[in-house]
Amino acid sequence: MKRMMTAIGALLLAGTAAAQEGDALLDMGWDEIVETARGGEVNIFMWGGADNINAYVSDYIGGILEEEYDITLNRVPLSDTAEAVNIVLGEVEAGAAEGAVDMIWINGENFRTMKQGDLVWCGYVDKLPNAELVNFDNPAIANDFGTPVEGCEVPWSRVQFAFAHDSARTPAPPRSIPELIDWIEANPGRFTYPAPPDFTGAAFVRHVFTHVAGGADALVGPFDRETFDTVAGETWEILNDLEPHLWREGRTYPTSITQLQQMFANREVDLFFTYDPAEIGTAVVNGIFPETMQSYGLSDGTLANTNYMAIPVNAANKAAAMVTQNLLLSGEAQLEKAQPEIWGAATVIEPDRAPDEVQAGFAALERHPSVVSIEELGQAALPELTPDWTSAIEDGWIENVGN
Amino acid sequence: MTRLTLDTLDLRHPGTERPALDALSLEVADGEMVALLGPSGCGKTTALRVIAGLVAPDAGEVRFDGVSVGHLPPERREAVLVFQSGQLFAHMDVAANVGFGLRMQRRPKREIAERVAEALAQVQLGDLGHRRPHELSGGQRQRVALARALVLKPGLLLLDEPLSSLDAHLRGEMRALIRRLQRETGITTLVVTHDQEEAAVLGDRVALMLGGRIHQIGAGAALWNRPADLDVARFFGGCNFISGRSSGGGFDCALGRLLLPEGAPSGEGCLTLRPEAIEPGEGENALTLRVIETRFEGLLTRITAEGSGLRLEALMRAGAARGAVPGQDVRWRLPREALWVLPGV
Amino acid sequence: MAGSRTSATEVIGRGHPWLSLAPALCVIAVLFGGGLVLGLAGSFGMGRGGWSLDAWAAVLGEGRVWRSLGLSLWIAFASTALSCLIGLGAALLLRRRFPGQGLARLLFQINLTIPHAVGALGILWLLSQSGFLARIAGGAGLIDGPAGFPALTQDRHAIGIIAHYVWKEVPFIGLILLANMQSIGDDPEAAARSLGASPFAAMRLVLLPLLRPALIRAGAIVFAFSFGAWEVPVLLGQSSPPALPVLAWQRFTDPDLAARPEAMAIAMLIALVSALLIRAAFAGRS
Repeated sequence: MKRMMTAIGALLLAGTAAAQEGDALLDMGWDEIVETARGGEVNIFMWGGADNINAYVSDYIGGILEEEYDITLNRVPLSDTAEAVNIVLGEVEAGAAEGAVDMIWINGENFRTMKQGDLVWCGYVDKLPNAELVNFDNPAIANDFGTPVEGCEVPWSRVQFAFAHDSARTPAPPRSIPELIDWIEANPGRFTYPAPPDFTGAAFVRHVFTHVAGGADALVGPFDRETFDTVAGETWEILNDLEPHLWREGRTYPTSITQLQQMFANREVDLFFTYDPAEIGTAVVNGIFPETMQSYGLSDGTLANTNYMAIPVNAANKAAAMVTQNLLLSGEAQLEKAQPEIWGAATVIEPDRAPDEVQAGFAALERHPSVVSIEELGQAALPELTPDWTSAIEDGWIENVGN
Repeated sequence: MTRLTLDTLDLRHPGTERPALDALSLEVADGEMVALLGPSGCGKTTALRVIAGLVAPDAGEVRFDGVSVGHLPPERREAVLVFQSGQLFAHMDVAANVGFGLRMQRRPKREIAERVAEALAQVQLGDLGHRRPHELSGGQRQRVALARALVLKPGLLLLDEPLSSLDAHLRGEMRALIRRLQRETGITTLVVTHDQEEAAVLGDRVALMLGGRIHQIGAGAALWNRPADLDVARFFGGCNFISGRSSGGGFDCALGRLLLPEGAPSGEGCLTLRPEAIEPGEGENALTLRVIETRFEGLLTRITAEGSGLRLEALMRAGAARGAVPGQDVRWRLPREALWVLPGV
Repeated sequence: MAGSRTSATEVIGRGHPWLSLAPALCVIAVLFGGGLVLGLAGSFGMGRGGWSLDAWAAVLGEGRVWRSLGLSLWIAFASTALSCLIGLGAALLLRRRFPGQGLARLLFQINLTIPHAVGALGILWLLSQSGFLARIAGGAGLIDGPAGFPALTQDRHAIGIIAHYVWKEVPFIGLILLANMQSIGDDPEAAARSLGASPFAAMRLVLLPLLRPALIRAGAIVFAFSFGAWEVPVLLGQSSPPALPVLAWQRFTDPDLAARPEAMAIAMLIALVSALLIRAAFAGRS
């Protein structure tokens, strides 16, 4: 009994020590932080649904960490980022100061949840040398789905929503939301979208919602019930009117983007969309999609967002997590990640702040022919809505359309 | 009631070397109770299942009243089999168990109730109709199983070791009950047992089955004292076998000429007598033998003695055995009525 | 010394059964009971600034929850009934001796080893509108395109889900019944036959009642699983209403922390309904 008490006491002390270590890190210089991190480990919790992304993190990033810093990287795959948020939440509620999660790949509502619940560690970002490569004044980086980042997470990649079609099957796809609505009516049964709360499906609904609102400008800023009610009413009407022309007459919807991908590959539907156009290239290389696949943006714009890496407030290995984040932001790692055969993810750094050879590398990047260029997409980018808007839209869809 | 004929039944279970039934033939008369006696594994339970129609023989015929029933499924045969374990249906109460067969015949409910009550009274369980099988003692369960068969008034009753699961003191009671019910109903009955005493008490005749066929059939005492062959003699505990020649009412062997009872077969053969038949002292067929060994077996003492190169075993009460001391000679009398000749052995 | 040793043996050997079960019970209490208690506490808002019935009120007052409950009950009842029926039939066939019986039994139980998610993908591959059967039908000219094939997955009646559970649970039921039949033996039926019962009557009136306790136990397991499992309806279910466990999962992974107590309340609802129905099934036995 006595021994058990001693053990519990030691654990509590260690936990407090971890929290204190976090504060101590903020007073250290970078070299000191690296020395603290050396020989340790870092547990990264991230969506694990794409092999190429997993390989990039485990092999490329993990390899450098091991070699240069003697840090072991453990990648914990998730099917939903909220699982990691739940773990941190449970630990913090239980008073565990030394948590299992050192870093989470995150954005949007999950980040807002963590920030509001004081579950995320803040104020360390300017310690990272490579943070200088990032333009934190860019509103698309300083705001995560409308939530100010404020030094509580570091950006990793940018993505922009894109549509895709098989040019051999559908030579003239719709290139705006109004065109899409007409196209659906002209091609009954050949279109559907994943039912929210699926992330990609919810993003598609936001496109229709933004279109009805007359553009993104009308929805900028905090949630406004009056605007929402007006816009939502018309949006649900459009989507409900479309149902008879959807796959299965709209009686049901796919439940995940993976399912939609399979249905497109099986020629059950003729249009696909994704929040990560680089994925289209990967799918063509893997033979899931045909060579004639082509992704494209909409003339009235598609939603764009940045995704980030956050460190939980109770992370046990904060120093190692900081070293990892700094590495992820390096010009070399960002360039590697941008290679189409590796991942093809758009960078968050300003290439002209990076060393010359990195700049040259970005200039020489070759896109997969099926992937729409970042420049082309970026010409019509819509800012993401704040989580208040997105959850109201999701709930409204479930209530009014999905039933 | 029904006359049962088994005509050269053969049956071999797949994957076994010895046949379970080997040209088995048996005739049971109308209203007769025959005890089918044999050691375990001799095929007697298999024979019952063949008669009941639960197992088909490889060859041969089962006839009820001279008519083959080979094509009839069990439920259409005039025979009811009572299993060794009783096989009461645990999810039905006693009355439902007893009424099961009548229910299968779609008798009216009232008739079933009446006949069930009657059958339960017959086995002295009149007031236990609402009990569940697990609430009964072993003896009560066995009686319910019996009532369940009798209530159908079958032409043929097949009892498979009905007493083996009972305590010794219950056996006597149950044995008397079976005997009485059989007398009262006159149902042709074949009862399988491995117990010689049980067979002798229950059976009008006893059929001894060894290795899948009947070796001898007759009254219990006949099998005991007049075995038809060596196997039968051995089964009943015979241990004295002397080879020689029978002629003119005497048997010539190494021990000299022994006088035989009337009707003993003549010719080359083997003389047998039961160990407990040997008596100490002088008289007809008296011999001098040297005692080799004595072994105390409770009530009786087993004495082995030798003469003219032959060994004889005797079982004697303590008083009679007192004179037998290993190494010394004794005078033993082999009563004429106890001798029997197995011809041609 | 010797005396004290004797008494120790007595405690272990003849002591109260609860005493010898204590270690196992502790593990069960912590793992199973602990999860249940924490879930229940979570559904009353523990750790969210005080206790409240809000989550339960919200869940029980929501039409979607009731529709999901209805769907899950339908899935569980249909899967259990069909699995029991087909499993019983299969067991009755497989208990007979016939050439190749060993192989047939092996093939019968082979999908016990296949994980549910894999089985569900197999069903998708087989039954979906672009699946194997649809392609055969298309190749034979019976249908024009995927939409011409009847919707057997992601469908309103949860046919795909039920098909998966039946496919997966029939061997489970069948094997339990086969083992049960083996221990029951042929004699009860033989006794019934000898008393005048036809083969069918002997099966119905004697064998089935004897199998009933095992069938109810196995059925209860199938029911609890098909009512509470999440992965199969996620893969094969329609979007709305989702099966109750899927709804609980959606709430649990909702970034809005306020949805967590609702997720817990739905999970507790699943456990409660499951427990009540299984209790009723056992009670109805006697």
